[in-house]
Order: sequence, then structure tokens, then C-alpha cells
Amino acid sequence: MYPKSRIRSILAVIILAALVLALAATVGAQEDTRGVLRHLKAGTTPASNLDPHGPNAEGLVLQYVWNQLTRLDTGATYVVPDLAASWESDETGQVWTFHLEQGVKFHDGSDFTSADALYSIRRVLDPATGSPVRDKYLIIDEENMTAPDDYTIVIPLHEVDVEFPTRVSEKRLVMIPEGSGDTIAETGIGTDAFYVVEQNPVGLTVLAAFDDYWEGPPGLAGIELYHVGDSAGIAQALLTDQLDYVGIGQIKAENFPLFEGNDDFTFLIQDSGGFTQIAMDVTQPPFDDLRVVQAFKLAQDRQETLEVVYAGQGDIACDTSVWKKDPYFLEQDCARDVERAKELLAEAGYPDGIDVVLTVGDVYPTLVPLAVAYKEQAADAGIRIEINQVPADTYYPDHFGKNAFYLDWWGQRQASSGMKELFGCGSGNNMSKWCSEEFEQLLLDAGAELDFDKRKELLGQAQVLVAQESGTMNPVFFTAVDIFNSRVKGVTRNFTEYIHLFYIEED
Amino acid sequence: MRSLSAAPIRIAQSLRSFAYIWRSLRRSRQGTIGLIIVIIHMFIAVASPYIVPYAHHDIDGKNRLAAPSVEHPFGTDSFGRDLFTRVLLGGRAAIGVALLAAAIAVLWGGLLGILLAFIGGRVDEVVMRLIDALLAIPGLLVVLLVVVALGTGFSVLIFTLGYAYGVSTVRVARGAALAYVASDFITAARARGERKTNIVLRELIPNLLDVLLVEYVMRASWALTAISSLSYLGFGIAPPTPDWGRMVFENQVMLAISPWGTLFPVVALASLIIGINLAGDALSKAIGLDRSQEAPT
Repeated sequence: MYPKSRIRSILAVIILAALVLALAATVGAQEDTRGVLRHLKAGTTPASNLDPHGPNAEGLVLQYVWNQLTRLDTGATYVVPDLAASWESDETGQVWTFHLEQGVKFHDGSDFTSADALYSIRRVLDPATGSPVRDKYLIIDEENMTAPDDYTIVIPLHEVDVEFPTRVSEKRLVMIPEGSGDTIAETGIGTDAFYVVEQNPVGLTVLAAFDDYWEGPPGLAGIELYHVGDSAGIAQALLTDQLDYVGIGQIKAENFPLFEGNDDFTFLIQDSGGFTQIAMDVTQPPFDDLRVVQAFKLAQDRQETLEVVYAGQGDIACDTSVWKKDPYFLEQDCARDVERAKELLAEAGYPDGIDVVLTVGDVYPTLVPLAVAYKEQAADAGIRIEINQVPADTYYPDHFGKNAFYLDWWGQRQASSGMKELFGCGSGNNMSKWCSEEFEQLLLDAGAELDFDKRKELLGQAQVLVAQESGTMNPVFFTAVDIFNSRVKGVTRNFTEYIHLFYIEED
Repeated sequence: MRSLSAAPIRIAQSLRSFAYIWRSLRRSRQGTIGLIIVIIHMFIAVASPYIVPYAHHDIDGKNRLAAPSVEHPFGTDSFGRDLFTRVLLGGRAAIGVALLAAAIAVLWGGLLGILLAFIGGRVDEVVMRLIDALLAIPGLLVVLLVVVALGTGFSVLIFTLGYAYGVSTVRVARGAALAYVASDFITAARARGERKTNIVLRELIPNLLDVLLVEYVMRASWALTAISSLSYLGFGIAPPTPDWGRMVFENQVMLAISPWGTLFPVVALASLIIGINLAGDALSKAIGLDRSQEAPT
């Protein structure tokens, strides 16, 4: 049996140890006072993964985990440095040299160098990767790309492209570690302010702060990306404090009064070039007849769509992807003409009207309302539409790009690169599969044109072609409205990147 | 040999029993109220296309989410469509689907149940265990799976709901038929050497018509709830066809701003279901069945 004094000593040691541990735990807990942002996911499918170059990249993760060589400024007009600190071209605009930022680290601790940059570009160009934006970069003379040193890359082009630095601001041309192509879909290693902790495409995706981020530690401890299965639940989730931030186009305008006048919520309202597109696959009947396509376009009542689908928050669009604040925007007249639509249908062999099925999923709040509004408008021209609403989770894997007549939501795009992506021959994001040699040539000529006014003229002609002949309808550019909990501070918006989270801090 | 006399007697008995049921229904206060509600709804469902003030799909961008007024007695929805029109028309699709689905359920489920009771033996044992296994899968889940795979056409909904509710009807019909299979008149018919089909068609079914009628009413009310639930979940009636369940879904996030968009379709749906249930309860009491022992499946 131990003497009493010994027992007392042991007890004292145990109590002291407990106190030290408790103190250490308290200090540890105070280490990270930054908040975690609970954000809404958008456009994910069960197949979404962490390969930023592949066809199934999880949308928002792209914004927070990887960087491109360049990005666009907050006005989405000018190209500014991202991982490329500076760049210049030769006199012709056909060979571009990018000087990379030094001291940039990947999430695995390795340095970002020119070898990684060349590998990433080659991977996007590799058909086996399945990149939906590969076509935009076929202009690159891949074989002659070089890396004179660890922080310089030289990219020669097949054609002159004076807008090439803008072209590489595409969020899908991000930098990954050299040789990581086989594992990137699981690891998701990038260079941006957050790294992937856990990814679940139809559940929760967790990102944590990457404190070695080259611009300094981010203002958030992490981001939780939540999947909300139906659009109706989004406003409720924000209202009941289950989400902190809901981005562009995700809340119906009718719901704004729920948040207005409530100090707990902050609005960020800005014009945007985002839109919802109705696509007619021109390789499938009846849309393989241009007259049918044009009749469908003429039947649109764009003003009514603006009012009933977007609650008046937006601008009329003429079926192109180039919006009013883009320097290359061309103002067009695309008035409704029901009589002409009927004539065109009659000429195409449908004098008694035409029956079509419009496939839609409730994946974005504007999709089903746009389908309903267009059905009603088209009826005036003898276009009888049956709306086939399919489950949201099956929309992208089973219907997108397969059905002849369907819809999708798009964020703002740059004039030239955006048109190439959305209307270019063979592009994965060309919903209508329209392909016009004249259009392709106009884009090429514009890229090679050094004079701004002449370039604008060429891109204007391309916009007219898209409006008149492509198989897509885009009636409205909507106003971007972000609503977030007022706890979230310091939000600035970059139109094409949603938000650059480095600047967000939570109280 | 064909029995010439049995059928008219049985049908006459059935008609007499229907007349008795009708009298009992009218005598019961809740039965009368239920019947009146159902008759009003049926009248609206049939006559609504001729009496609605607007086309259900007429969009009016200038008049969105309007409050009830003389022009729009129930207000308008987010497309500016007249809610009065849409509520009046909103039951047609669901009622049609529910009535047809319940008919299919009672037809195949009832027939199979009666046949199993009559045949008995191993066939009965095997098929009933199979039915038990199918019953273990919730009906709405089966319907959702089929709808996800095949789409949301009217025929898909009718046949899938008809299947889902028919499975439970097999048990009910078999149970009811078992009581008759051992009875004297069936034994007598067997002894007379009547053909089995004749016994089922002329002896068993006429005696079970009242049970099947109650079953039909119950299944129709549950099918109506199911179709509205599916529409609410976005898997039922396709837009822009007016449908109460879908209208509640469409207005769900506008509830705080435009409550009438939810209120009127809910009142319409709830009143019809209450009406059918009141009438159904009174009906089952009139023929001596206790509906409280059954729950929706």
C-alpha cells in the first residue's frame, strides 16, 4: 500500500497535467479564428470529379482550388496576371512568352514551374483528356512550345491571336503538377487559396485554407460546398442559416423580398453577361432545317421572358453570348415576328404547325420557367411544345447534348473565346452542334487583326451569324444577384470567376 | 354445362345491395357531406374547361404575383397566370390519373386475389409470398423509380400507380374471397360441376363487388395523394399543365410573398381528399367493413 503523501503527489501531477492539457487545447482552438463559408454548389452531377481539365470537373471547385496563367479583372474587361506575372508577344502576335510567378507552391508542397505549365496545356490539348474547351486551344503549336527556364514558357501559335492572354484566362485551363494526370481526379492538387479535403459531387465538398498560397493565407479557414437538390430549397437554406452564400442566378427574383430590408443578408447586384440558353440540335430533325430554327427564334417574346422569368432583372439578348459591357458587343435588332415564323414553318413543310419535345431539368431556377414561358410564346406561331421535365440528377448525364431540344445556364463569357466555346465547330459546350465555316473564319480573322475597330467589326459579323443561323436561343442576359449572410465580409466579385474568395472574411 | 339462371340472380342481388349502400350513405351525415364535396369536385373537373375565365397558360408579365381581385379572384402566379383558372383546372389531370390508376389496381389486384383464394394450395402460397415481398417495397418509391427511368407521361403514371396499389389490393381481395370459397353455395356450384371460370365470374365476383368498390374508393383517394406528392416533387404532371401538387411546389419559395398561390390549391386538394375519405368511410360502414383497420400503402 502506498503512503498518503505519495498518493497526494500522484494526484497533484495528474491535476497539473490535466490543467496543462486543457490550456493547450484552448490555445489550439484559438489558433484559427477565421470562419468557414457555407456555399451553394451548382451544376454538379453524380459523375463530377476533381479533374479540372476533364469533362466532369466539379464547377465551383475549379474557382477555388486551381489557378490559370491569367484571369480577368473585376469588370471582366481586362486581362490581369494570375500565375503568369507578365507576358509579351513577338511583333506579329503569333509567339507568346509568359513569365511565371515565382514562389508559387502546389498543395502538396512542390513548386510550380514552367514544366507544370507546359504539362497542363498539353493535357488540355490531348483528346484523351476530353476537355470541353480543347477546341479553343487548337490554335497552339503544341510541338514547338518551350520552357527556356523554370519560370518562362514560350507558346507559338498556328495563327496570329492578339487576344491570346485573354484566351488563357479560361477557368478550365488551370495548372496542375507535372505528371499528375492519372491521379488528379482523386487528389485535386492545385495552387489556389484552398485545397480539397473531401469531395462528394451530390453531397458535401470540403475545402480548407492553403496557408502557403502565394498571395498569402486566405481570409477563410475553409469552404463547405453544399448540394441542394431542387431550386426551391435554396432560398430556404439561406434564410434558415444553413448556407452563407448563394451566387448568381441561383435564387429566383421573386424571392428577393424575403431578404430585402433584413440586415442579416447582403445583396450584391451587378449587370452580368450570364444567360440561359435554349438549344436546338441542328444535326437532328426538325432543326436540321434552318427555316425551322429561324422560326423558333422569331417566336420568342424576349421582353415577356425578361419579365416573367427574370422579374425584369436583366437585358434583352439576341441569341449571342456577347453582352453589352463587352468591348466587342454588337447591338442587334431581334424583334418578335410571329407571322414570319409561321411563313418559315410553312416553307419548311409545317403549314399546320410543328410538335416538339423540350427537355428540361430543374438544375437552375431559371430553366423550367424559361421552358414554360417559351412554350407559351411559341404556341402563337403554331409551335406546339411538350415539356419533358426529367429528374435534376439525370439531366446532365442522360439528356444534355443528347436530346434535340433542351436548355442550360451559362456564366458570362468573353466575346471571341466565348463564341468559340459555345458556337465553334465540335466544341463540347456547343449545345446546338451548329458548325459554320464562315463563322470560324471570322473568329480566326478577328484573332489575327491588330486594329481594334476592325476586330470589332469582324466579331460583330460573327455575332450576326450566331443570331441568325446558330441553333441556340438566348433571350436575356440576366442581372447577377448574389445574396449572402451579412456575417460574410469583404466580398468582391469577379464576373467570370464568381468571387475571388481570397478577399472574403467571416466575422 | 352453362348455368343460365345464377348470373341474373347474383347481379340483381348486387344491384339491390348497391341500392341499400346508397340509402345508407345518404342517411349518414358525413357520407352526405363527403358525397356533396366529391360531386362538386367532379362537376368542376368536367365543366371547368367551359367555365374558366382565362386560358390556364396565358402569361401576363405585367401582372405577376397579383393579390386576389375582381379580375383574378385567386390572384396570379409568378408567370402572371390566373390562379382561379389554374385551381379549377388543377384537379382534372390528377383525378383522371387517380381514377384510372385505381381502376387498374382493383382490376388486376382484385382478380388475382380472388383467383388465388379460389385456387388455394401451393400456387396461392408461392404467389402470396411474392406479393408479401413486393409489399415490403414502399409504393411511392417504386413509382419514383419507374418515373425516373421512363419519364412522367400520363400512361406511365397510370400504369405504375395501378401496379403499386394493385399489390395491396391482392391481399384484400384474397382475404375477402376466402370467406366465400368455403361457403355452401360455392361448394354446391362445385358439386353441380360448374366450370371454374363460371364459379369465379358468376358466384365469387358478384359477392365481392361491394368490397372491391370500397377498395376502389380508397385506392383512388390514395392515388390522388400520391400523384399530388409526385407533382410536388417534380415527377408528376409536367408543366405547364395545371396541377395542385405542382402549383404548391412552384409557389413554395414564394409562400411568404404570395400565400394564395399555395393556399388555394391546397384547399382544393385537401377538400377533395377529405370528401372522398368521408364518403369512403360511410360507404365501408354501410357494407360492414371497418376502414380504420387499413392504412394507406
